[in-house]
Amino acid sequence: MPQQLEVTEYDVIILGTGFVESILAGALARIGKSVLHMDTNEYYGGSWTSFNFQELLDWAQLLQGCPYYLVTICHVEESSGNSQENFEGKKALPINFSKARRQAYSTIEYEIYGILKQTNSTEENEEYLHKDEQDTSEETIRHVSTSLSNFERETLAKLLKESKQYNLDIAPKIMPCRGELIELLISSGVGRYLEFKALDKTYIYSDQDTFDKVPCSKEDVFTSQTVTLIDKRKLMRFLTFALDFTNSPETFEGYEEKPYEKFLKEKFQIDGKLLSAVLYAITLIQTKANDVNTIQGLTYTQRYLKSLGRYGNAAFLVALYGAGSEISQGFCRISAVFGGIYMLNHSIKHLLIDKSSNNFTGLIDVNGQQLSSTYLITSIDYIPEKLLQENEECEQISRAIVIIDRYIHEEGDASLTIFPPDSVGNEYPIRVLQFSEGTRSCPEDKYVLYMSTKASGKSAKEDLYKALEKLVNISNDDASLSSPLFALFYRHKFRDATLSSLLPDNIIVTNDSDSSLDFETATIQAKQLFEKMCPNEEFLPAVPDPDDDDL
Amino acid sequence: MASRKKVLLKVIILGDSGVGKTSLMNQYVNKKFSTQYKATIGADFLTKEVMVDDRLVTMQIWDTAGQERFQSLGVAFYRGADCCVLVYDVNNNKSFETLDSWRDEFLIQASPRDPENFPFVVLGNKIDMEESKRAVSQKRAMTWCQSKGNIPYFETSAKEAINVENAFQTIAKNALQQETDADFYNDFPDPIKIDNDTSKYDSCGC
Repeated sequence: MPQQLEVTEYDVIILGTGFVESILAGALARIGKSVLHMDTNEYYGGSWTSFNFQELLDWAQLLQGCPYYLVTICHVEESSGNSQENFEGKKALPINFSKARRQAYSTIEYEIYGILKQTNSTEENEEYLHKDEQDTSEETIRHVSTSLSNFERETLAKLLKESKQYNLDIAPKIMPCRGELIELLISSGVGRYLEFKALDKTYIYSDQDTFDKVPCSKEDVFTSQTVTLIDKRKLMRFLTFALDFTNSPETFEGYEEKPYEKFLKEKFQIDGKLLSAVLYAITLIQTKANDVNTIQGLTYTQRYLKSLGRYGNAAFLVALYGAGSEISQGFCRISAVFGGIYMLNHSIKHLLIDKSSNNFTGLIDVNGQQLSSTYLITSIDYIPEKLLQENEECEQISRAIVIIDRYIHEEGDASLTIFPPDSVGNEYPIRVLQFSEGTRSCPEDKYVLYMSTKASGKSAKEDLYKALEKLVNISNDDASLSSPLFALFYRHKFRDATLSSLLPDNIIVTNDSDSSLDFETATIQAKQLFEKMCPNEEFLPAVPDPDDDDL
Repeated sequence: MASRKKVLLKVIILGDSGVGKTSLMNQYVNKKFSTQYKATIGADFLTKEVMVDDRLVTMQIWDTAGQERFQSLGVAFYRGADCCVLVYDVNNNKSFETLDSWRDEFLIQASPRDPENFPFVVLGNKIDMEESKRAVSQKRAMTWCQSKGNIPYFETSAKEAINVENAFQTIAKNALQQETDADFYNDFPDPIKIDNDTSKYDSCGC
């Protein structure tokens, strides 16, 4: 039965349930705007979502161009509508969601690794295979496995068996313990829906093939065994200054616009390994050292230092079950609580544009129903091609999701490992998050590595493979390293549609997830878009306690 | 020590739009009923402290917030549920027939560790309406509940507060049993909650 809406006029229609759209949905419904929130996908989170293992594999295959009927998720194969120059006096521009989605990703490659260590119980493994071939994953195994060895098939069967225990983020991010997002989660009440684990260990790779634990807080510096006494004193002096740098402007006078690196060397004699640690593991710069000036650098360093101490010795929190998806759902729930209407798995055929004013007036959904609104907020995937300008220079992020059988470095819920530029032939820093079962990212006895860097080489795999080789036993035969079971490499475009001048004024476009490790820029974007739309309204004020409410 | 923790039970209420999910919650927690139907607005979750077998527990009852209307309840809604209440309207046959899919949906999305023994409770609501309007007999409902592993069944009226207290007492009891079982598996330190009100659920420091 087609799902018709009784109400066809709204203040705002929102397309896509990604992070920024979801915050806006919550904020707008909260102040009493009528909100209709739709997503073509059957899941929340858009390009910020998380998948179980089977879904991730399906997603990768879809992006590789595998026919949709062979996979089990999001099989929205819309036939794109025709562009109509005249629909009741308006232009009807077709939306091609699947195509836009596919174009956002490139160089997708995945690998399944045979279990090299011979397990004792081959019988048990046989059983795995038989059992799985009877259920729904049979199709997947047959489809994927034509080129796999028996050992690799065995790995695949095991991963599929535990598929539902994986929550794999396709745009993994962490949250600073102090910052825009956490304050918003607390003040809006959305934080009540969420649970977190602390990320309290950071490692940095040094050219001697070792990983050093980075001392972040003053206590860390104090107890660190990898830092020399002289370096400890330099670092202490610097951390004390950086935490409160605005109060001693004389220290960085003349360096404001100069590279941060130069400032650290000249004013604090920080160099070598220590310099790398400050730049890439504490300041977390995501580009080359020269590209960050002193003011930017100090701002990031301070943000990091201020985040320490609120939840123990951690600067970041990791949301359980996959951050982007869970946080988006939290904001959507607030929206729904305040009257927002939710339709997942719902395709949109056309956007309607008024010919004379060039304004958005409404859209036509999959059932042919015409829905109108004053504003349209949308992720870039729903923008008709005719309204987009080619943007050659958009940033690309190389990512990898790797499932491994043992932790790297040390046991723990979550850690971060940094490869500074040029340490493994990489142009930009490579960041590797490791999550354990405690974060609900994976089953017991497995770990997930999320790798990311700005794209520089030919493919995501090329950008990340050398770093992966240092972390896991992937090609050499070093049994002391953990073994990979699965790796997916992909490139994600950071498309900035706000640059298109062809867009009607009342269409507001949200950005894709960027290359930063956290949600801060995206949270700020949501807030700014809200303030532009509703200049005199409060952004996500606290929710009244329903227990006191006179309903 | 786990048993000394202050217990928080998450209960979620599922069923078609308009069967009275929000009304049942409100009747139970606030002892209020409004005849004016509005598709759920402003209801997030309600909490109530209850005594179960001499233990004081906090029951947190989660409304669907209307997201069930177009089958758009996200997986996050189901996380960590200790009991699932399935509601239908005894005067509406379709709302009874969809119980099956609501139950399946819960088991798929929440994927509880032991699906066979996960506590459901079924409520047949709106028994205050005149007998001639009744579309689902008690016998038929009970047969269905038995076939699904003996789900406890109550016939309720949120409007006239019939059987509501009783039903939620059973819900609390079964949720507590589930929570205790789940704790048995869970030897991890508790995750971090970021709401300001952290003291509320701290283990008692005695």
